[in-house]
Amino acid sequence: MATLKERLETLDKLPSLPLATLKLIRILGHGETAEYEEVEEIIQTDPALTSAILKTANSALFAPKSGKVATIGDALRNLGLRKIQEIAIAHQASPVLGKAVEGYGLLGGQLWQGALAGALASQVVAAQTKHCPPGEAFVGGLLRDIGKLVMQALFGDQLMASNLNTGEGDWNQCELEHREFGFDHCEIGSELALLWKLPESLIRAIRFHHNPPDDPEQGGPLVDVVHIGDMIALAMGCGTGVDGLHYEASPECMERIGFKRNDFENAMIETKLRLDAFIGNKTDTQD
Amino acid sequence: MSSAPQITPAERKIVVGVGDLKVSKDPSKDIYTYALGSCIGITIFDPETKVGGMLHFMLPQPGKDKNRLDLNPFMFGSTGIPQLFKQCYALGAVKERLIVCAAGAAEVMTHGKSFAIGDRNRTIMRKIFWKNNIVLAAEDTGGNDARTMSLALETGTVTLKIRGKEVVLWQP
Repeated sequence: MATLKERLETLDKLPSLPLATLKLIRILGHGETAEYEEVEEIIQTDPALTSAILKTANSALFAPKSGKVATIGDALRNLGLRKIQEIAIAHQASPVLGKAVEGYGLLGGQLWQGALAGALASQVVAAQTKHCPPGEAFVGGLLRDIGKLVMQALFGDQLMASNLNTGEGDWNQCELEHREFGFDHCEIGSELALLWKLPESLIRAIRFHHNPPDDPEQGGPLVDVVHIGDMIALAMGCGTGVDGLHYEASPECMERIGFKRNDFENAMIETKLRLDAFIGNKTDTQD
Repeated sequence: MSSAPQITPAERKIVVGVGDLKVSKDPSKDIYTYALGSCIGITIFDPETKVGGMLHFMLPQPGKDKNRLDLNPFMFGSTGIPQLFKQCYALGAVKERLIVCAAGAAEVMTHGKSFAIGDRNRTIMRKIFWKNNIVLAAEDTGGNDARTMSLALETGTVTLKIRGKEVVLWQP
């Protein structure tokens, strides 16, 4: 039987992120040792990214009270390293994650909206619980379902048929994919992340975000945070296709992280506010 | 001879986001909300004036947390539902004629402790309707499926899209 790596290699065109984005994600893993100069240099190698950052830094939401943000150095000083990394990564990932994913019944823009909601929710949970760096949680939440793009590329119509013929009841999407295809979108997504040489913690968050109890290390901090971020995005209906809310919440994970109902509700509200600030209250799609 | 301008499907749509409310009395419009998870979508429609509206609320109520009191009222059932009715009345809707439908309140699966956001959203909705003598004409809530909901202001028909299939929730 073909390994997941071999499965990926059969694809003519793998989902890919720009080199600058991958570098920014990798240095996020360096924590506080990441240098402004390093980030500035990476962003400046990409003219489209530079222009997008400057546009965002001068937008109504982020613009300084006086003057204009003219360089990436100014933007970094104004908004801080983490914010610039998040804006850059989100901007570069948006075309990749913005595509329709028919096999999951996701119209153009819906996977992206779910990714962003999960990213912001994970960031909020990380900030509330101090379980892991919010920047790392943002990227984990953003890329958690990248495997859905690979499943679509590998199985296309077969995936849609499988997802639509589930019958009634409380079937579990990951178990369904396992039964039909031998692996699920979390496993193939983590294999892609490995290929992209992302940090180990992110690979595990992608692999176990729907099933923290399956993690041999019993859910590292990032796995737990992204799992809760995913639950928040699902509750808000962001990025939900034919798979809907057919995923299992892990009470152990909530326990480990000390998350109570009020914390969950506050995190939902904060996520909604941040999502509105990022994209406005738009849940429109290209159908 | 000039023909009447064609309205595209996109122009027909009024989109309601998460924690959002829209009302209209333009019968050429359809009000949509995409992907209700644990949130609830409520539609109201007056067949005589063709005034209609949709609320997509996210949580039952702001509660006692001071930080929540100044928030957008459409995020919560307790503050959004009265606004939905008030705004439709302002456009000429009459309570006795209103057709009220609801959908959403799905939950993620769990074998242990759950925050039951969908269930609690449904409870607050029913409580408010019961207190105000409002009877639901049709409801599809609970389960694990996400739902897209639409209200056609020409007819009042309420349609749901669940796992790729369209289902009429209410029609005249």
